[in-house]
Amino acid sequence: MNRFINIGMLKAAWPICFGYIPLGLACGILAQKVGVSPVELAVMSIMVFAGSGQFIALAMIGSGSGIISIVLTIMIVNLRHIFYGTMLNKYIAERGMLYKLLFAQEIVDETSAVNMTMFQREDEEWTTDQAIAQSYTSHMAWITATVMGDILGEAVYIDTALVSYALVAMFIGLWSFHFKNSWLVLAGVGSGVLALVLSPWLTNMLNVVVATLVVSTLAAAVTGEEEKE
Amino acid sequence: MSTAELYLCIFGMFVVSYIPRALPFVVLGNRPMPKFFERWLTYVPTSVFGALIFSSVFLDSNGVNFGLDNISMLASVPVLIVAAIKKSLPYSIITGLAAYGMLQYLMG
Repeated sequence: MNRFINIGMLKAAWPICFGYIPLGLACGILAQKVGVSPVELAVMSIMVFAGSGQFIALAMIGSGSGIISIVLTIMIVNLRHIFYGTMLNKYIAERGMLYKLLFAQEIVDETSAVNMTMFQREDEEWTTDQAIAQSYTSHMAWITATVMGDILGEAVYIDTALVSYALVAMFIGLWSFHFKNSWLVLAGVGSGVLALVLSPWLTNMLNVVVATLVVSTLAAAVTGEEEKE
Repeated sequence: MSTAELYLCIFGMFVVSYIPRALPFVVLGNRPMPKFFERWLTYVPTSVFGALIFSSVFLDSNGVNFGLDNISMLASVPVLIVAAIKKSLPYSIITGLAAYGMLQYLMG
């Protein structure tokens, strides 16, 4: 037990790992199907580390898409990660550049949602060391699970719909912890509805990016007006 | 796709994924932020997770689905209730998996 690996960190990381293991296995099974070897997938899981991004990339590799169109699609799919660095920055602002650049590689929906919730908790301390350790632990679970899935292939049966829902349930839990006043609930639900409205036109998670930008800006403007009055 | 092409593709994906991940830390750094930006930031987490959750719960391959055959939507009701009452992540996840599995079984 040290400042990185301790009970508090593992308590925060396990729900992500719990969700990543079956989802990673499913991702690895897909990789084997489209002819991506375990070593190649390990490199992809280490360097790209993106759940939905890797599923999309593997499907595109399987359907014979070109490199440029795959890279551009992944760029769009992962664009939303920019919000996570933006909202986590103030919590790690004191740390050096090396920490920040290493922390950045581990930014995905799950690690960021957990870190954000933990940094905001008042009853428990959450250090920047625990935050980066939680992220690397989750990433390690993802790498291991995807490679295992690629090795085992069809030998394991994974109900992808069910296992993906474990992470959705985790997000719903983390999301509800943010509901500290009615503006926050309204913004969350509003952004969700807007994302659905935009979904026919904005694919590859762009609906999430636009809905977040529009709703958080509106909410900040409206609540700012209230404060002045 | 050859092995070399695949590695080139992975490297390309790494570059385009890493830039939005690191950019905020590099640009924002450790300086004080304007008031409006601070207020904007308080709404970003709830907005981004709201959009992500609604997209995974209500969207399927045919678009938006509010129908009673949408298992994710139905399973999310007990999850929200348990999350609100218990304020606990493990309980939310277990409730979600149990509800989803049961609905899947019932709806065959």
